[in-house]
Amino acid sequence: MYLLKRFYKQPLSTKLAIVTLLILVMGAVAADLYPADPYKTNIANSLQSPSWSHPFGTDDLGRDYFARILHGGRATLTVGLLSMAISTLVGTTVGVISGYFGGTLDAILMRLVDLLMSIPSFFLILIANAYLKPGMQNIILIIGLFSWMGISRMVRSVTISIKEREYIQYAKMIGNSSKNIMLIHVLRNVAGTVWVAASIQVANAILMESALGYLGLGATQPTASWGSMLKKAQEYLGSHFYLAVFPGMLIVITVLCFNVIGNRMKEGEAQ
Amino acid sequence: MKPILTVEDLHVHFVSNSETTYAVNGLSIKLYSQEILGIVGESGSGKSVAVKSILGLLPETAQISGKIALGEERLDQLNSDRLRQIRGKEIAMIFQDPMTSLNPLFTISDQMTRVIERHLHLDKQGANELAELWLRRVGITDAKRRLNQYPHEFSGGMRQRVMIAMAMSLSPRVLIADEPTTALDVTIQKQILGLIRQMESEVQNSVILITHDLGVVANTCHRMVVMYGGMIMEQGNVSDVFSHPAHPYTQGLMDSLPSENNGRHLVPIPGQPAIATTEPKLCPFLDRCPKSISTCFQKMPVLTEIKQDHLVRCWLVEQGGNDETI
Repeated sequence: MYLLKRFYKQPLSTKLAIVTLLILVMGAVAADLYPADPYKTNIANSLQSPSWSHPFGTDDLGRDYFARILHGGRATLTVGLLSMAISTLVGTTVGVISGYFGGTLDAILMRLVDLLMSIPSFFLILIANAYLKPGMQNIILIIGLFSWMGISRMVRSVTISIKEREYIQYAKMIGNSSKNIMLIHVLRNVAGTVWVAASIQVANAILMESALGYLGLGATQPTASWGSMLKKAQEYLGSHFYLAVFPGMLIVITVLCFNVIGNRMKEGEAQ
Repeated sequence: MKPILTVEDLHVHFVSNSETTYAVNGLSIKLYSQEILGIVGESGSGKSVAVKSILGLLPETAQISGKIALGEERLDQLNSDRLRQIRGKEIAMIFQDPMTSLNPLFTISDQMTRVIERHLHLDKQGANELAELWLRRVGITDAKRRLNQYPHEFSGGMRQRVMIAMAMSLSPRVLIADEPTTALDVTIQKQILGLIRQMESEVQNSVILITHDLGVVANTCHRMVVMYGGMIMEQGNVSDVFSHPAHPYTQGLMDSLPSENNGRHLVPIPGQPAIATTEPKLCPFLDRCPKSISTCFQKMPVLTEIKQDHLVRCWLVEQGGNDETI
């Protein structure tokens, strides 16, 4: 009930973003309910235009494109959400510790962040990817572990302002350990910032995964992700443009939705 | 009588890249059981710094030396685990601004029970009952409902009551109240001070009350310490100090009190308290003192007993009395 009320108060754009995302997530979760097999090839049936039996048509190997989009969405959203979870976890931990303790530890951690930030993370990810076995797990880990720096900086600055509050002093006075203060008081206060950063991080991770997939470094065949499908579609752009339109549009829509929600959260945070 | 809390020759310096600030310079205080000790002084005289150093609450830039002991236990040499046990349980503190001392994101119950559970090893329900009991004791009606409210639902006076309840629920031996009524209006101030006095007599603990309001000291405290420039200027029983203020600074503070019956104008102390950036060699009040003599410019005065338990740091006293009866 409370959530519904909150939802009702949102502006139209946010409502649309939330609903669209819910539909996309449901599609990814329930992909198996769709009867067509995304891996079953049928060369005789290749490159068909959308029709009633194949809503999004078929690809070059005659696989049902709608089924592949659903499963690809599952892969893409999984990468987005899980790598967001990793980068948020690392970023928040580093940010809180760095901001709370300050001093030498802060200097070391923040220089590390500077170092990682000074190298374009896309190259880092490309290089790391080249050395590791391609696969979903590694993609998630690599994207997650190379994109926490921004979050940690934001969390650190909020932590620094929080730790000077009197109730933190008070918590210290009444005998709380630093660990307790960080886990209870600081974490609760940086939560807003973290949510905002996380929602935008999902969008970034999805873009990153798509880009990697497009470069052939993402999900391996026959697993589909929207990025790898986009790459495949490139070959048929002249004759069968819809093969590129569906995954491309879905990436754009998903990223846009996460960004709209992230921005709305930021506004709420600022008030 | 043995003091509960002893502070001996406490020095606190804040060191930054460019300069060193001498906040507390050789402070010695004894706090006995069941007394309310008032520490008075203008802003910047080192009162808050001194008491925060007792609990080790100062930032890392502070260099602290001297002896701080609770009973026989040296607080300045404790490891952090034991210090955490003492904080809150043995020595509790109430801060100046009740508006910011509570975390706005948690209910009163959350904040109180968490502390009670840890220090008194009670379960959730026991802690909740104790919290409710203390809220009632500090005069909050409808305590059960109030417990589940957030800080913003309380007024300033009510929040300070919550702070007192929170501090007292652990039955600390020493309660430090750092300007507990500065942020409150006068009628609430009276209630809160009454509450602190009442708590002190009921629980039989000791209280250090920091204030810059002499009226508060006169009404509430047993003994008082007048601080300036991080040093004790005068110390004694409230009645002695008020009837025979011996230090020019104390006299200045008294003269700048509004008084309703003798029709005098307020006489302010000229100037501002200076922040010492070099180690003080002379009386810190010298710049502003209307009665300075040549000795004052040569050496630092020492704390001298002019009557039993009444100590003054001033060369005038050495010279044979500067007793000014008001």
